Amino acid sequence: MSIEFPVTKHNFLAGGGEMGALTRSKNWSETVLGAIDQWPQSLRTTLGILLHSKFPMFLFWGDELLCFYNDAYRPSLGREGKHPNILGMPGEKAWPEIWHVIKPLIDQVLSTGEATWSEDQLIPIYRNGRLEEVYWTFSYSAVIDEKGQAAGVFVTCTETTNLVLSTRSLAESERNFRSLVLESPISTAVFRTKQFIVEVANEAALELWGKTSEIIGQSLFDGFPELQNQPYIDLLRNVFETGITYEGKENLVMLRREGQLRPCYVTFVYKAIRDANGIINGILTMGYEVTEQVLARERMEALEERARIAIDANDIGIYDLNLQTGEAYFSEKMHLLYGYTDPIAKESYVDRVHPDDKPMRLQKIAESIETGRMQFEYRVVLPDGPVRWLEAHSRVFFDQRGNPLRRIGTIQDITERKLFNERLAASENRFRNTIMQAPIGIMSMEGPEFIVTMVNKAYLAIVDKTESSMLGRSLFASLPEVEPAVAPLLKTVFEKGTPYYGNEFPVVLNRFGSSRTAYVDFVYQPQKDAGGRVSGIMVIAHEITAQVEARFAVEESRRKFSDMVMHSPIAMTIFRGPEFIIEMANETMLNNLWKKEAEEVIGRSILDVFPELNDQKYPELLRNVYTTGVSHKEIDSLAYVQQPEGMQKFYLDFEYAPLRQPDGSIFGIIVTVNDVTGRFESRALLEDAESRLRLAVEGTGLATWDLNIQTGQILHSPRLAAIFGFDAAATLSHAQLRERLHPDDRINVVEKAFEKALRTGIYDYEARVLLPGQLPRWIRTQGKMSFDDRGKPFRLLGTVIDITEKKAGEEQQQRLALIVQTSDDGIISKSIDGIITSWNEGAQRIFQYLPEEIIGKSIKTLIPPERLAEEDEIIRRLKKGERIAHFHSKRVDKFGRIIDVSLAISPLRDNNGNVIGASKIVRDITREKQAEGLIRESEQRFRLLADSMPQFVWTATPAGEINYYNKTVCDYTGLSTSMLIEKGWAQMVHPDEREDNTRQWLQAIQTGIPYRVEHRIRSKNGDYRWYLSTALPQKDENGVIHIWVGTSADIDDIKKHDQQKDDFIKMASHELKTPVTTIKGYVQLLLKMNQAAKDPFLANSLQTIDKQVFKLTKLITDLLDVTKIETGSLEMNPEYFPLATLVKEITADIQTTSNSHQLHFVQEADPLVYADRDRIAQVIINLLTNAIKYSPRSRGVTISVFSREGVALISVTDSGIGISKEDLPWIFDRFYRAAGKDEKTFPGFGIGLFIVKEIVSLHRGKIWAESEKDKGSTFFVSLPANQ
Amino acid sequence: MKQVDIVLLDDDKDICLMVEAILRFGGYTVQSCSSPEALLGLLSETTPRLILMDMLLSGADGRDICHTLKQKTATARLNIVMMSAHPDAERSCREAGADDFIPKPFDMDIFLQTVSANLPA
Repeated sequence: MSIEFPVTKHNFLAGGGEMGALTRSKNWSETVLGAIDQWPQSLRTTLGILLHSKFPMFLFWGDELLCFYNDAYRPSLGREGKHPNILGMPGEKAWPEIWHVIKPLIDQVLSTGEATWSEDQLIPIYRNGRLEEVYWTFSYSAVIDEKGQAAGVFVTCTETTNLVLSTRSLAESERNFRSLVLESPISTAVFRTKQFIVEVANEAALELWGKTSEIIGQSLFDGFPELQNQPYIDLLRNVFETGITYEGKENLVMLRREGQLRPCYVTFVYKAIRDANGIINGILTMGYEVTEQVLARERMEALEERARIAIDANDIGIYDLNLQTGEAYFSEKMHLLYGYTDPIAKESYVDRVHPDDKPMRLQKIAESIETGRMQFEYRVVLPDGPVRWLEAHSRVFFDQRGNPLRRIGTIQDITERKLFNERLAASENRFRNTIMQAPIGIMSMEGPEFIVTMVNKAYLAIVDKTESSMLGRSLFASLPEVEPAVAPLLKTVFEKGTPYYGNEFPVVLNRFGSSRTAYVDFVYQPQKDAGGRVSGIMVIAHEITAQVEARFAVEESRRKFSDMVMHSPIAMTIFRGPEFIIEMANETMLNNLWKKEAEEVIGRSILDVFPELNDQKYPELLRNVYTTGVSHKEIDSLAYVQQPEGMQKFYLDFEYAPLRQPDGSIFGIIVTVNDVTGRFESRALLEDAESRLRLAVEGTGLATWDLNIQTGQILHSPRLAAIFGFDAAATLSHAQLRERLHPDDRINVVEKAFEKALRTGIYDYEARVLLPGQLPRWIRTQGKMSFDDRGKPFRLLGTVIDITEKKAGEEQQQRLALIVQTSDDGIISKSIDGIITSWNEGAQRIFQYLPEEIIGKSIKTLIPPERLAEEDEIIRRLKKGERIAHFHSKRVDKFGRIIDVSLAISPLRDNNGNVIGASKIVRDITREKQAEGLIRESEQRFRLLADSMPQFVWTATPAGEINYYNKTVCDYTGLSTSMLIEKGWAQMVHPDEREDNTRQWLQAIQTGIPYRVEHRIRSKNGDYRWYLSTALPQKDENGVIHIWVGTSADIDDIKKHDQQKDDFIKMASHELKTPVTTIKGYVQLLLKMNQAAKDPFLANSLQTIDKQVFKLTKLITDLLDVTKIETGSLEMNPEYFPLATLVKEITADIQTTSNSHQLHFVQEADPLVYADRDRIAQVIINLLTNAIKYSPRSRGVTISVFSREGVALISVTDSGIGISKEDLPWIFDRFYRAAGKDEKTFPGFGIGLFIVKEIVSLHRGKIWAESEKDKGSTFFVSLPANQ
Repeated sequence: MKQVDIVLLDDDKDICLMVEAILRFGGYTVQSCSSPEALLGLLSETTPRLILMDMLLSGADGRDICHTLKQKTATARLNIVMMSAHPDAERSCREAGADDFIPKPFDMDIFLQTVSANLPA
């Protein structure tokens, strides 16, 4: 059947767009199909669907597989391609380029009748003028004709080229991302699902976790058992549930390292990953390990802490000089050490160096360039004059060429130590002088043989021996006569170790050519060695033979002493007996410290009143003072005292001093306490504040970047821009970034690091970034280079971190590390349980242990067994956060040697402020201690001697200020040394003598002439005794006085005795003169009356009587003068008068009674003198009458007055018998009369010139004679003249 | 009782006699006594031009008497010269108020000069 219908009647072809029209208009009759009218219904139906479909469709029909397609298909044929030619064309002809691909598919469909499905199939076709790669997703299905046979293949297809290409580029991007993640030095991982399955983990992450790639695919719960007790799973869950990003900064994570869990610090982010629906299905984590930095920082902090402690504890200044550029760093305290209040230029430091020390300093600096080390002590002069002692330590560091590069060193204030040593030496010197000059016998013996090792002048004078005859020999070899009396006593003292006091002890001495009993007060003082054994005996002896009958009874009266105690503003108390019974306590003690009433405590033991003291060190100290007699003094001592408001902590300065009976035994202890708690606590608060400040620590922030090596393009995080000083939002080029690198670093560091990265793949450097208007900042860059298949670098991926602060810290750390390492002081850290954790060179030098030998061992290794308790105490105090400064102790080195050390120990704290250990600075002071020990021993020995002397001993500065009184002064006056020094010596002198004493003392100080006065000194009972005080200036090798040593001896008994003798002589003289007065009066009256009677016999007789009476009177007067001279009671009543005027008057007077000689008076000057006029007259009369008397055959005597160099002079010249050379030295001695027959014929007593000499001496004048036998003599008298 | 030029007090009777003799030789009227009580008795009766007085008076001290006399208005204007053989007497006598001092033993001429010098005009 044939169905004819016009084209328009072809419904199946109606519409169908362009392809519908084309299909209709095509002349099909030329094809095997023939006219449309003849097409089978199946074809029509199929074409109807095809042409009306908006989905691309194609049809192969018939045996020739003629091609049909619709509008939707057309674009896939492109321009200048198959459209519209292939319509109706056989398939083989239309698709030659792919016929080999599709023909089998078509055949398969036609033969089996089953449809095919191909997705994204690459089927390149010719279009757009070329063969294009086109991807298709298509289905071929068979079209069944009316005969039920497959007559065509229906193709539905869609071009997926764009989809495929974009998917492919997506995959590429994905690959890139993975590569980024996997290659990145930042640990990156993705956890999926609530099980936190490790989906992705890069190498850095595996490294961080300490895992292998096997972890990928596992759940965190299975793969990370170590996280069980850590907070991270919970954090992840939280992020998973809330989607809120978690940022962890320097979190502590226990991670597996080398098979063990180790604490690590990680900075990381957990970020939720959401699917297209916004549902969280995983977590991205990125992070990096900062363990090294954190530990370095902690180490640095610890190191800084240690060094700071070392520096603080010893007031150390640090400096760091670049010897090539001149750059200098000075620590904060440096300028303070030089007395500047503000930091100064480095050149200015030398300005304050003491001029005398400058050359030495320069020399030491020059030497250190050779030796690499420097150490010296020098002085700086502070602005207001005082001198400060500093000690410089430094080390010089050299560059590769051996040129000095840096000097790093410390400056320490050692004034206190220096002054202490100076004072100690001065004190030793003072006491040595005192002892050697003391008017009391002192002798020291060693060993059981009593070998004499030291003996002073006074002792030698007592026993009438020379120093050389006694030194180095046994006492009994020198003084055999004393053996019976003293040997048993000495032996007892030597064996028992207790002193023996001999009072008015009779001993027979062979001296001055005879054997006589002498009376001696003495002390045998045992001398003990360090082990407490008696090594020798010190003898202090005072001969009192002369005063033995004058009883010396010192009564123990504590009244005044008690007054002082009661009213002292310092808390004081007295404990009596070995039970420490509180005998008295002053108000300050009761009210401020004890908070108790007197009735509660007096009469009770201190340890009963304050039982809490039993657990503290104080009872032991008290017992020690009580038994040894050695005072104990401490400052800043910690004590706990029970008070009404509870147990209170006190910091006390206190002293325990023994109280002794007159026999030297101790009966109690006087305690003085000063509460310094306030001072101490404010210091502790300050230290707390300091440590809190240190805890402020800056975090780190990491920037990332990705550099394309070929294009130079860089991708970076905003943080990178910020680090390089740009706005965080800026997008920067690689060049922009590079420009900001320090030029030196760009060349020397960055380029080198890049070259290395090209070889190794690892990029890592630290360099400076220069920011406009800012200080350079330090960055650390780390990265990884990626290479392509041909080994060509194409990408550099990395991170940047700002390490400016860390770097600054490192510089400081390096400096401190150098200080710590090179310090001569040992710097040791230990944990709280006493395990040594660090050990520097200084410690090695002191203790001989190498670090590897001692680190990890207990600090007790260094402590001698008997001092182990110290460590417990130290730990106890450290745990309380206390600092222990300048603690002197002993330690033991590797070889068992005992070392004297000074320790400063400070607690080390963790970030939470808990004490976790200690840093200690150890200084070897063995040498100083030994020197100090020797000097101290000597000082103590001499001080003990000075205090043991029954006489007063005192010393004064060259300016006359008294700075020491021995114990005897205090015992006698009842005044403390400090009261005596404060109020002056005049307070104890009788008011009548004060003025004169002061004048004499000032004169002695000015002239350097020894001081010697007799005065009354008031005892504590209020009565006075006479003392003879003398003081001698002690001069150094240049003749400069450095100290006056004075002694005062009790001469009261002698004085009283002398007074009696004096009174007796005066009365005797009075009684002798009284009858003479009567005789003389009558004789002279009779002579007058007889002038009228003119009885020659009577007149002669009366004249003779008168002359003899005159001689008798003179004799009595002279004898009286001699007596006065001997007793020192010749009184002077000085006044100012012109000397020549007096001499002239006397010469005139004598001329009137002497007719035999002509007296010539010559006046060259008339100097003013301050003298006793009558006594000087007596001198002149004596010399003139002598001149007349001893020149019987001559007629002239010349007397002259003149002055030379501030001295007034008188000379009396005769031409008489003269004096022989042998006699000349002796003529001024008492009772001396020249031998020789001529001389003997002259009457006389031999006391005239003696009196004259004594009078002149008392005026601080001189008398001497020049003479030649038979030629005559000239006598000279000189007196100090007053201008 | 008649007025005398000089009243003398000395516990040594021999000295009294000797001094009296010298003073009379010198032309003065003199009345001597040997105890302080006697002196006070005399002074109640007469007002001498001068008192000569020894220092140590066997139980009394001339200086005390001198001091007392110089304190009393009735006798304050009397001139007093003291004498002594005691070595250190002069200063203390002058401190006690004595107008002058003569050491014993004395030279007769000097003694008379001193007495004359201390008589009121």
